[in-house]
Amino acid sequence: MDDSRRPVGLRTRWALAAVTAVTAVVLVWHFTATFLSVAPVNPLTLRLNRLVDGYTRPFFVQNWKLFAPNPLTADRGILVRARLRTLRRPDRMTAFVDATTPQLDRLHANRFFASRRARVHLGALSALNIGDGPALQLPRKAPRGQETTGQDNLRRRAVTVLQAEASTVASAEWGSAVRQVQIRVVSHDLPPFSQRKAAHWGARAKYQDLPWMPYLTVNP
Amino acid sequence: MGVAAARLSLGAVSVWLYAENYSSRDHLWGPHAVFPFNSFVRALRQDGSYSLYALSQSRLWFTVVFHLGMGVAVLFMIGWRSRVMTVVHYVFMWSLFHRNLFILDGGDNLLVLVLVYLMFADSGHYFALGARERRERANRPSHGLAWRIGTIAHNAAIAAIVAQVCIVYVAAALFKVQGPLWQNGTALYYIMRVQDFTWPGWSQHFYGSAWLVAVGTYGTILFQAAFPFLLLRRVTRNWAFVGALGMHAGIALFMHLLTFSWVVVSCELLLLEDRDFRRAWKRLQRVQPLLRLRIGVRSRPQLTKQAERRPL
Repeated sequence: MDDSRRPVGLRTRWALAAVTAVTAVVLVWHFTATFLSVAPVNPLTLRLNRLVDGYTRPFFVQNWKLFAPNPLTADRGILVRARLRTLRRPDRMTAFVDATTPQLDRLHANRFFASRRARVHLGALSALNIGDGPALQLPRKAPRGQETTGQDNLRRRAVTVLQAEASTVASAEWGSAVRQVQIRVVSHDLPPFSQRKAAHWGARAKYQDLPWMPYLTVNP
Repeated sequence: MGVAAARLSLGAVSVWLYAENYSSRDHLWGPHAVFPFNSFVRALRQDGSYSLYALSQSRLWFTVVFHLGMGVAVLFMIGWRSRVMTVVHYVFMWSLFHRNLFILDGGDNLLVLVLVYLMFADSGHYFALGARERRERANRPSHGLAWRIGTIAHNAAIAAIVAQVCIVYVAAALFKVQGPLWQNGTALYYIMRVQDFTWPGWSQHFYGSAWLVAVGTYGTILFQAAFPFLLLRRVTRNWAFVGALGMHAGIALFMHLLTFSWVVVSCELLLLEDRDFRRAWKRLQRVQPLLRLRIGVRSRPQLTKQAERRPL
C-alpha cells in the first residue's frame, strides 16, 4: 500500500505498538483458555479449571469431541405410552408406540433440508448417556442446601424435553384424553465390525422405563 | 476476500437454518416448544446466559423475534452494514440456539464463536452491498490512527478464526486417539451405521469395505492432527483446504450434517488468498455458458457472488 510508506509520528507508532501488543496478549490468553477448556483432562486443565471455566462460560463454551473417544455403537430410540381419561374408562393405559422411527424416516426422506425435529429426543438421550454406558443416568436430587451440578441440570432438562416430546407423540396418537405419559428408552447394539455383513444379528434390545410423567402441552 | 466470502457463506447457512426449520419453529423454539418456557428461563439463569426469546412468552413476541432474526440473517449475508449486522446477527443466533440446546451440533457452536471474531473484522469489503464504492473510497491515502487500529483488529480476527478452526481439529484428534474404536480403525463403521447418522442404501457400501473404513478412520485422525501444520506453507495450505472440503462433503452427504460441514468450510475460506478467488472466478467464467445453461439466466452480480464463493 502506498499508505504504509507515509511517515508516521512517534506517538502514532507507540500507540500502534501498544495496540498490537494488547491484541497479541488477548489472543494468546483467549486461545490458551479455549484450548484448555476443550482438551482432554490433563494436569494443566485440573490446575487452571476455575480460571478457564470462569472465562469461557457461558459465551465461549465449546466441545469438539465429535464422535470421540467412543462413537455410538447402538441404535437408540424411545417408545411412548399414555394413561388416558375418557368418559367410559377413567384410567386406561395404552400400548407403546414407536416415537423415533417416524422421525428418522422423515429425516432420511429429505437429507439436506430436514427440520431438526428428529434431533430433539436423540439429543436428549445423548445428554442422559444412553449408548455409552450401561444405563440411563437420571438426574439426582442435590443434598439439602447444596447446589445442583451442571451435569444434573443438563439431565433434568433432558428429561423435561423427553417428557414434552412424549406428550407431543401421545396427543397426536390419542388426542386430548392423555393425562400421563411414560417413556421406554430402547437401545440396540450394532453388530461388531467383523459381523457387519451378517444377515441376522442376535443382540437383544435393552429397555429402560422412565417414571410416569404428567402430560405437557406442546406445540406440535 | 476470504473473510468476506466467509461472511457470505456463514450468512447463507444461517438463512438455510431458519428456512429448513421454518415449519417446525413452534415445536422447536415457540412459546410452547418442546423445551418448556419455564425450564428454558431457568436454564438461562443457571448458565448465566441470555436469549431474546426469554423476554416474553407471548406468541406475538416469538413471531416478531423469529422473523426479525431471519431478516437480520439475510442482511448479514448480503453484507449490508456488515459490522453492525455481525453483532446483531450474533445476538439473534445466540438467542435462537439457547432457546433449545438439544438440537444443536458443532456447527452451531462454531458459528456463534466465529461471529464474535468477525465483529472485529471488516467483512464487507467484497461480495457485499455497496462494497465497490467502499473500496474506492478506501483507496484514498488518508488513513489515520483509527484506520490502522482497525487493520490490526481485522488481522487479529482472521488469525482468531483460523486458530479456532485449528483448535476444533486438534481437540477432536486428541479425543479420537483415546478411543479404542478409533485406535482399531473401525470407528467410521459404527458412525456410518448407527441410525442417527446412516444413509440408507448407501452407507452399507462404504462400510462394507474394510479398506474404506480403515483408511477413512485413520485418515480422519491424521488429517485433524496435521491440520495446523498444513497451514504453515502455501502449498500445503491449499491441500488442507481441499482435504477439509472433501471430508466435510462426506460428512454432509453421508451423515446428513450439512449445516455443520457448511459452517466449518465457511471458516476455512479464510485459508484462500485473493488470487485463489480470482483464479477460481476466471475458471468459472470460462465455463460460464455451461453454468448459465444449468442454473438459468441470472443477473450478473448474483452470479459473481456465487461463483467466487466456490473456490475450486
